[in-house]
Amino acid sequence: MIEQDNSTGVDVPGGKRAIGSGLAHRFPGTPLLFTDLSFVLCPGETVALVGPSGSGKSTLLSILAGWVKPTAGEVRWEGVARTGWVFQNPHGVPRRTAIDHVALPLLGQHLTRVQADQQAETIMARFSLTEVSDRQFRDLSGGEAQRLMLARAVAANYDLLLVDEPTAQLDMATAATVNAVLANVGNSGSIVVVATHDPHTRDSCDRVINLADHQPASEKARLEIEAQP
Amino acid sequence: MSRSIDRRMRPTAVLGEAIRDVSSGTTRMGVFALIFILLVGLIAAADVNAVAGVVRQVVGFRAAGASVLTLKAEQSVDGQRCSRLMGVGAITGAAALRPGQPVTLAAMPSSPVTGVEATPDLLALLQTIAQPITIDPGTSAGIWLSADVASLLQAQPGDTVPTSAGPVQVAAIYTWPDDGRGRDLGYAMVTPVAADGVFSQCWIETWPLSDTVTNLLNLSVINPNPDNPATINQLNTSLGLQLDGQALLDKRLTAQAGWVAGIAGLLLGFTATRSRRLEIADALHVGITRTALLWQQLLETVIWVTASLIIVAAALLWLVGALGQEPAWAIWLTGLRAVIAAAATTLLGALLGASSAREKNLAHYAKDR
Ligand SMILES: Nc1ncnc2c1ncn2[C@@H]1O[C@H](COP(=O)(O)OP(=O)(O)OP(=O)(O)O)[C@@H](O)[C@H]1O
Ligand SMILES: [Mg+2]
Repeated sequence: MIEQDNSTGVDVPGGKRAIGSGLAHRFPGTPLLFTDLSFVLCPGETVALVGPSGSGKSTLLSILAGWVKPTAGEVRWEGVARTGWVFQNPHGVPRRTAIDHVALPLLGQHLTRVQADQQAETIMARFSLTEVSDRQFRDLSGGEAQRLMLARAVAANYDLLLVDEPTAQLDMATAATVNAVLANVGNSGSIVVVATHDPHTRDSCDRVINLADHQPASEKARLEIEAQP
Repeated sequence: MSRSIDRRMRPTAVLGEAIRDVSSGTTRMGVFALIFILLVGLIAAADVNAVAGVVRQVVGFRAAGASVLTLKAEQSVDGQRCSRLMGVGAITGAAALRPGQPVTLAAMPSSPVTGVEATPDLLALLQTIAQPITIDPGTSAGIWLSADVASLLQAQPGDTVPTSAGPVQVAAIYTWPDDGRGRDLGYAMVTPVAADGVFSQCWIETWPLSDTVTNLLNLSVINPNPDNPATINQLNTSLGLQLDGQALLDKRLTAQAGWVAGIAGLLLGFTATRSRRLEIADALHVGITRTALLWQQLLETVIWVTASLIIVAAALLWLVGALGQEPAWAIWLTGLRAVIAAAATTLLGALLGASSAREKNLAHYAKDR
């Protein structure tokens, strides 16, 4: 099966990009969450999306996924066919082993079990999961489970990976083990965005988009937005 | 940039995932198989019991002689005509009878035994309505004794017993229970005689019952006597005049067992895969095709449904044996229909449940947990 890009149709040599320009969003009957937001996201870096609680981080991820249409501005995707998510609470199949979770997306890429297991082991090593690869998901610690979600996302080989609060459910020490491997997701060839309010997670990323810098400054901004067609 | 990734999962990989799900307990095969076995097994067992009950009632009706019509016409029944009724329409047996000389047994001179003469075809009829019946294979000629007489004489088929008319050989001993049937053959010795000649009764057994046979029965009468017209009666009226086996089957409490079991299977199969919607949505999200997932879920369901099917089928076989009602195979197959219906709808339900999981609901499912 040949995958068709759902992008603008322009064949971009050299890779994939997600381009946000002039983005602003509000839900019906609520004030603007953010405004005047523009960025270019490329593979090879992990971008942190920060801002106070309720500032619209998760909402922006949904806009990037194409699930939510922004009130103003637009997102352009180039070479982005598949978008993946990692949520704050890791979920898996309780009685299946850790390595089975990482091998599954590889089996879905027409690999044999032996090939998939080999590749899964390589990926898991990058997320410090070698020790637990044969352990059942239900026996993993929170940090291990969250790292497994990241490893599985790498195996799934998304074009755009959206990670929402990966350490929100973890204590400091456990969160540190996740933050330590977060950069490895960015090296995987996907565009990676991590929404977080954990400063350590932010520090593990290569670049920061801070929604606090894009809060509507005045009523003027709101009126400008409303004047647009 | 266009990438070319083959997203077809290998059949061996699909099978491997199914086996790992079953062996790891992810399928929860034990729970669902147990529910299937209990639920569908009980429905099918109830149906087997009901069908056996109907068959028992029908067999009992015939065995009691309720399906036998007797025509009585003094000195007016033609033996040949009566015998020839056998095989006409629904008539399974026909025989002509007349009183013979009372017989006094040497062992019991004070209580004479009713003597009856009958065409040889009566023996075939007795095999339907006078069970248990024992026939001596070595004795072609000889008399037939009712069990009441035989037990007094302690006679066995093949024995020779002394009578007032000389010694006679016992060819058969039949049972004539006091269950409401006419007592003519109750304490009797029947002597088979040639069908030539005139008799006073013609008996026919019909199955299934039919209203038109009385006309046929009247054909056995010659020289009708206007002063003493022929009368037709049911040999045993205690079980009612009619018994419609098909209607009883259709009306049985469990006639809808197939539907009920089918719906139970549909719900069970749906529940089994619907409860794994988060896992299925996850697999879709990491790039597994819906087709591969449906095959995988189907395989897992086939494994536990087949195991349950075999167990229920074996249990029903045991039940049919314990009920002891013939025809055992036919009764077993009737019960099995509900089980097979349930197995098929369980697979269908599992496919529906697996189809209902949506990748887009992933965030929603994840929060549900
Ligand atoms: N579908 C919706 N309809 C209306 N309001 C919504 C909807 N989704 C989110 N909101 C509101 O929009 C605001 C931003 O929500 P969002 O989840 O994006 O914030 P966040 O930055 O991710 O916060 P947190 O750090 O707590 O996760 C919140 O006030 C939220 O209540
Ligand atoms: Mg959020």
